[in-house]
Amino acid sequence: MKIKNIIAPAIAFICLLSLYSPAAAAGGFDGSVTIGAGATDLDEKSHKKGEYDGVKDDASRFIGDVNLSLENDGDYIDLKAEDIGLDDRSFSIKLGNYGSYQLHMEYSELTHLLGEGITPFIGAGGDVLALPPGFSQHTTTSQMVVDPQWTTQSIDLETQRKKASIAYSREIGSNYSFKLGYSREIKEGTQSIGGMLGASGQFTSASILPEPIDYRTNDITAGITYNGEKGMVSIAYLLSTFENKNEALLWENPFAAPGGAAFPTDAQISLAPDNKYQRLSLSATRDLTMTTRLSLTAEYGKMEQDEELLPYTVNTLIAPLRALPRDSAEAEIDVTHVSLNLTSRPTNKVSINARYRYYDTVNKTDRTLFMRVTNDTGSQSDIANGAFYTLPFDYSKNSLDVDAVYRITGATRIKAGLGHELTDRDYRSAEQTKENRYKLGLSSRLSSVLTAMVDYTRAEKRIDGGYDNESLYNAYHSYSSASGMYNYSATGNFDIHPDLRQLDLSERDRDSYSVKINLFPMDTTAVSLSYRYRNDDYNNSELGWQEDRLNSYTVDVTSSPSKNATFYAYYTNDLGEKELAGHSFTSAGPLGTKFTQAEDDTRRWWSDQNDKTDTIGIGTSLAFLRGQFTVDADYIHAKSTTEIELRVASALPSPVDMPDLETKRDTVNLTGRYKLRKDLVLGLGYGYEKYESDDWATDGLNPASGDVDNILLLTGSAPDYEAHLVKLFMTIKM
Amino acid sequence: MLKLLNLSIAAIVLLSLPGVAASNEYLGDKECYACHKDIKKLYLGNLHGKIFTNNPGTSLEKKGCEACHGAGSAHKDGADRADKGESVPLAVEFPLKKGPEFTLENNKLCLTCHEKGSQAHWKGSQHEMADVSCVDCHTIHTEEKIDGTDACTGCHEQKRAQMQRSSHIPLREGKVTCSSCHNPHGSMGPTLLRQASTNENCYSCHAEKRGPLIWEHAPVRENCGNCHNPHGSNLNSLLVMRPPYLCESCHAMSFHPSTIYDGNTLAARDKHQVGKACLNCHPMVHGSNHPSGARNSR
Repeated sequence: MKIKNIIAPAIAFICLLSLYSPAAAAGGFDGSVTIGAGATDLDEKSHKKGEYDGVKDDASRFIGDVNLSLENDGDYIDLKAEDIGLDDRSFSIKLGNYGSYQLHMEYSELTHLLGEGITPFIGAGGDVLALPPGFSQHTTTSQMVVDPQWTTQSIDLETQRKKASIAYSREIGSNYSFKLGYSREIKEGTQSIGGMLGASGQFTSASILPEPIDYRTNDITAGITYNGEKGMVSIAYLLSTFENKNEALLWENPFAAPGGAAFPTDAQISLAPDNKYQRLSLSATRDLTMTTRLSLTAEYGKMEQDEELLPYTVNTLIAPLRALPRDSAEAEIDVTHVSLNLTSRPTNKVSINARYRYYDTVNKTDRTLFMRVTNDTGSQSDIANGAFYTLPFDYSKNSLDVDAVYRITGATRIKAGLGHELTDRDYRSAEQTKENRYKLGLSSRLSSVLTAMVDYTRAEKRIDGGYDNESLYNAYHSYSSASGMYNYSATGNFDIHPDLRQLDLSERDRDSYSVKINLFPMDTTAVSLSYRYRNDDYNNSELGWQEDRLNSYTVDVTSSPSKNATFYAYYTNDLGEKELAGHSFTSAGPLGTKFTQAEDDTRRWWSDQNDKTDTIGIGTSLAFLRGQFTVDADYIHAKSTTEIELRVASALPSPVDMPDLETKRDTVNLTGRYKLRKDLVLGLGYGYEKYESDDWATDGLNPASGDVDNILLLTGSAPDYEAHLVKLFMTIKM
Repeated sequence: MLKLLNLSIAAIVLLSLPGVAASNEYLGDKECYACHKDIKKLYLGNLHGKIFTNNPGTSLEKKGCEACHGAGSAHKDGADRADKGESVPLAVEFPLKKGPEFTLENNKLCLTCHEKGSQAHWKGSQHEMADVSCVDCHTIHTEEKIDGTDACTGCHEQKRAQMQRSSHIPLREGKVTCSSCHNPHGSMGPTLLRQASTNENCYSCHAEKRGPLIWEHAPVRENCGNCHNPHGSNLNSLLVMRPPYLCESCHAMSFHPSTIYDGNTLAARDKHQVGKACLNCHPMVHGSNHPSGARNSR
């Protein structure tokens, strides 16, 4: 910790303290105001440190929190402000009359630091990116960095949300209430996005670009509710509009073609289009008897997007371009949701709940053939060569779950449940999947010092109607199997290997159970042991995920030996294990090589991924001098290691395992508070954080050095850091 | 069983005491404040006290302390007699009894008023069926509001650990809480989500992902959770698996999507592994609105 970093906040704090007098705090307000100053010292600038508060480097900051209430005969004003001196500040004003009405106005900011970038592109933050004047295209980045015109600039990749909202709610009599709300969020900043050139996987190059973020989201809500003796009815409406000030990102291409078709001067990528969502909701409950209640929610929503379509390409060498099939997106998905819930407690010993849920999306966007130009490169596709139909995917889910609980004694209960879910999908390889779920559980207070709980769930998901790659292929591609390249004589046309079952469609047996034991060895101490296990077995998938297993256990201890001391400690160990099976095949060589290779089981490979995480938390709150002096201390340790091991069948060369991905963070927070007077508390805080990570995707790569020949990078790794924080503050109680 | 017997005997004894349970009348808050001075300050500082004393909307709310605790005259009589040295159990319909066997009874009291608005779907919810008690999360006689995250992580320990992972939403920073996405009092969405589906929940903050788009990525449209773990991940962008392996889980196509990427290819700085991996070239993984965006590269 550098001395200079704490001098300024200390002086500021002393000035603030000298300004305070008890008379200034007097008034009709109840609550507290906290003001002070803090300083952060980092051994290395790192966006990871200030990911959500913006403090990524040595900095001093103002500490300000306000929590005040003014009341008079049921009328009230609540003022609240948090983290005034940081980039995640928020302010809130509530005014109203208790039990009658409320007007709530709120403003909040939230920063998200994403990294520091280095780029040759000029114009970051806008929707047109230019290369340095005189810069020539090169086939590799290592050639670019020695170009005499090569220059770079640093840019901060970060976004900032600013949201303002106002809501008014009012009770009308004792039965009715209504609520109106409006919010507007502005999200601005820069993040990264890949921009590719090249028409085939072998001959492609990409520039990682600074993507401009300039979003506006407006939400209007309105609702009215009737509350009766035996139930309620509520109707609500939501209108949400999203606007992106940047429709597309155009960039000057730094790459010359490494092979194949020539690369253009400029290229363009689409950005998130404007969209609109409306939803009308009806929610109702009705007590059918003293012990039975029926609940209903019915919603109808409409997602619409009609952005004007971009041209197929900005490459002027490709001409004449075929016309677009329509001028704008004309995309629409309608959503219908109906949930019915019947719950009953016929006796104090028995609870039964039956729930039916219907969730349906209807994609009304036309299935359309687009004559694409692949990445602004080469020639425009046509029906016989490389054009694709859009696939207006949609799905619906029907599920029914019934759960029952039987209380054998007041302290012991068993539960059981059955569930069935049917999912129908359009434009997927499996058009219908069914899942059956079975649940069992037992919990008991075995003695006054011991409770235990065991839960078991099994879910079996099956494909109904077969897994059909060919229909999806034919719906997507504009041409038939004329070229032979895409024809697979044994199982028909396919893009994706016929033996693969995509993750969300594959048949799966899921077994999960949890055990929890709570011990109360003393009145003041609780110990909890919990274990969770989940195993997803994709036993009918030859390729794709084979297994996904999770083992997690936690030990928790809390103790309050006296009213002046509390302690807690916990340790959680998570081990996730995933197995993925792949099959390496190509279309290279003589006609039919793809099919030969696709059928050759010796070309299989497997990836075993183990994700190990240890999390430790320890903390205490202590009070001394009859509560006049308090100390809070917390320590968090979080360490994760992701191992990726690879295996192959005989036809593939022996693989080398991937290096481990690792992150490690240790955080200490200490805060002492001394009650100088009844209405004045002085505080001193110290924080320490150390972060280390190893990431093979970015470690050792410098965007300015041309480290990857065909990728012009923008960022490297998140720098490790060691940070110290001190803060001085005073809390004035009104 | 023995406990039940003991309770029954105690109840019979109480009811048989003259002047204790025979008549029980409402007295008003002032009688309560006379003895319970500490509780008075806390009660008047919280929302219950403020509404009951300033603007009671129902006849029950007008009863103040006794709205929840029941009529207090028997309790007061007992206390007065105890003050005179008599050995009398303090009879009061104090509603909150400790122990899981009293959860239903305790919750009933709260539900008298709180079975509307965001609590309308409490009955039948996962928490209600698990016999979670209102007072497991809420403290009544306090001015302090519960912490929307701490109240949950007491039972959901695994989520508490996930929050501490490198890739996380600002839960541990307190900028969102569990209740930003979930309604612990019950909802008609899955896993107590506030919205009708996982994706609609995510669109609440990520409206740019809402679309719809002309080139949809089907698993993305159906469930963001296919690729992301919102509670925290050791991998960037809350991913459940690191690209290129995540993408290869579904895209086993000829050439590069089916290739095995290992330490050898990494040493050669293969473009499918370094930087943004597959997203170097296919950035529009959430779908594309570009006429040439069929392969999610535009």
